[in-house]
Amino acid sequence: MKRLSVLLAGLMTLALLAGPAWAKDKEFPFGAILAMTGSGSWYGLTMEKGCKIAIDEINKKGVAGWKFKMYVEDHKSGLTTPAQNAFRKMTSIYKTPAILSSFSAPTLSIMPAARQQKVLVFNGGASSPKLINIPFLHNTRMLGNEIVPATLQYLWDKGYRTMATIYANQTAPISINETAVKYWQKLGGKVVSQQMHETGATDFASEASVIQAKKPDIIGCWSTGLDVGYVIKAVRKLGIKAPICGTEHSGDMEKVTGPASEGYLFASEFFDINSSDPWTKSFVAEFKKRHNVAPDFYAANYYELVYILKDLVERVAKKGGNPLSGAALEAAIWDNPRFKSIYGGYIEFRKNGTCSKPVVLFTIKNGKPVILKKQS
Amino acid sequence: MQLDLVAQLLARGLITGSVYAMLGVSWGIIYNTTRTFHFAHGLVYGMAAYLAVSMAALGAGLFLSLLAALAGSVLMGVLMEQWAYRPMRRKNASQLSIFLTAMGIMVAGQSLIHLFYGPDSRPLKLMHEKVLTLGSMTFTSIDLVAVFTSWAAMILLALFLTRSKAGTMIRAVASNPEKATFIGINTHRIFLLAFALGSFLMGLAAFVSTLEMPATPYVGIQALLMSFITVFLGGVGSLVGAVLGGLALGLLESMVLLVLPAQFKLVVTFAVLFLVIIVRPQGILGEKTS
Repeated sequence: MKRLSVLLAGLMTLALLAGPAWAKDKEFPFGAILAMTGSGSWYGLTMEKGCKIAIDEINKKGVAGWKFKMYVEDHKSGLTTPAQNAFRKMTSIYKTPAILSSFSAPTLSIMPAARQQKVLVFNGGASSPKLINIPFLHNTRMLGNEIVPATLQYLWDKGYRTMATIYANQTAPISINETAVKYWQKLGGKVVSQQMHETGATDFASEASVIQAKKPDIIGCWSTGLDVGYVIKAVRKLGIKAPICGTEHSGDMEKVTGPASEGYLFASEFFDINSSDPWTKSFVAEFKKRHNVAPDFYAANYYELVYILKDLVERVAKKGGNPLSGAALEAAIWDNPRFKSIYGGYIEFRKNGTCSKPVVLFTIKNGKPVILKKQS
Repeated sequence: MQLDLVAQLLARGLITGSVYAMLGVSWGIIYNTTRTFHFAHGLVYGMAAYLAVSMAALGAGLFLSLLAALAGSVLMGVLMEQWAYRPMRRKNASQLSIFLTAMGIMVAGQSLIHLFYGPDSRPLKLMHEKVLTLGSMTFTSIDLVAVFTSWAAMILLALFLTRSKAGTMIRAVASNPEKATFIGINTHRIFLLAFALGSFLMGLAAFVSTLEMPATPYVGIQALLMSFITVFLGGVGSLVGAVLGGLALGLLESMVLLVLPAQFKLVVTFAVLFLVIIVRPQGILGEKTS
């Protein structure tokens, strides 16, 4: 009897000690509508990698009794119908109160429904200026109207005066082209040719021939994904030496261009993988450990977004609210719009849906982006 | 209008058109002979590209990679005819059913490539690309290889079809399958041969294109579109029509930039296709069917 009592007491102690592990955390579902296939799949993959690291870290302890669960859907590199279908699936089946989105057209296409259903949407990848001032949408990527001038001003200061542009028939490239043309003309420059192309096209030889005939000082390529690589390759193949600038550089671009991408200029926010910030260091180390490469700013943005969601869930739960309500999460942003940033310091949300980050002008040297100029 | 630009666009149109012509002939020989809307032909292109890339990754050189791509293409085309289309024809399946089956094979195959290789683009770096200039025209050594390969393959096919017994039988089956059966031609074997030849050309097109543009899981769909658009433009039933259709399509895509911005390229291309089909439903060189 005594032995049985000891055994029971032991079992009870074990149960008490193991209690927290047995108690099932509630699931906090959130969606990620990314480019998992198509010409921009590289972006989707790196963004997903960033998210997964954040989720694994967060779920070690949980957040106020919640464990994060991410549902990833594919918008096929910028298509709106798959994005809308993914949104419907996420809100009706998984009941996600928040969604991480990418690419401008898919993001814009889900926003009417997101506003209506009060689903919080974060974009860390798309750069169209059209993404500003949309309720329930917050952009942690610098938008085109903020990054294009940095590149063009640099080239203007170098003495270049005529520009040819080429861009994909997608929301972001079209609106960035408008911004770039206006800015270049405002500087006093001349735009000698503007060509729009099909997204995902691979043969730009004819377009490059037109550029060659117009003899521009510089070429602005506002396309995204591998399209940029194909444009660069076609232009250089014709022996055109004019500098090419853009807003995008995907990590797999050099597979298309080979050495032709040397000297390509692009401005984007600056994620410093050599930062001394302990959080940045730990993220970079973990990313390298898992994937054998350093993270880019897309991975960093989406990693950071999952942590912003974590903070919001914490804030709502602390107030006794329901984190599964997108409206409650949105309201929690404005309790304090400053969040700890993986870039070091803090990221502050603005009421117009944008945020501020340092912008850097990069150029490709030996197949890798190197800093040419820090803007702000 | 600048003459330099005209010359450059003309050269580009001829280069692209030559590859389109080969794609058209590859689909045309299968369609003309078997009347199968072989939508899965695009999968042959994709598989050939990935086979070449895989072989190169294993250390194989240009010749071995090409051989693997061609052998894989032929095998795939023949297996699709043997295991998918033929059983359906024997059960008197409608053209629509066969088309849907082919589409299913195409979609499933592409997804398998995606699952197996991932979405990353995979270049085939087996040939150094050198920029060449002829007057005001600029092109690369790989462009030249593509043009030479396309025309050589098409000429050899033409010789095979006109000078060999098997070629004559293919033409006989394409012209009148019932009569061909009646005079003792084994249509099943001829169908297999047509699939083998068409797939061989598709594999060749995939290989030369991948030398310049990396392979991606969905690369075959564009090649497939061009292959049958070319046939319908040039004329169903005529391989010369397919060649003409391919050249016309390539030149049109390129020369349109002389007068219109690049964004109108596809609009004009398809508008012309639409007009041709309205005015001559049988295509440029196709024969009217009763």
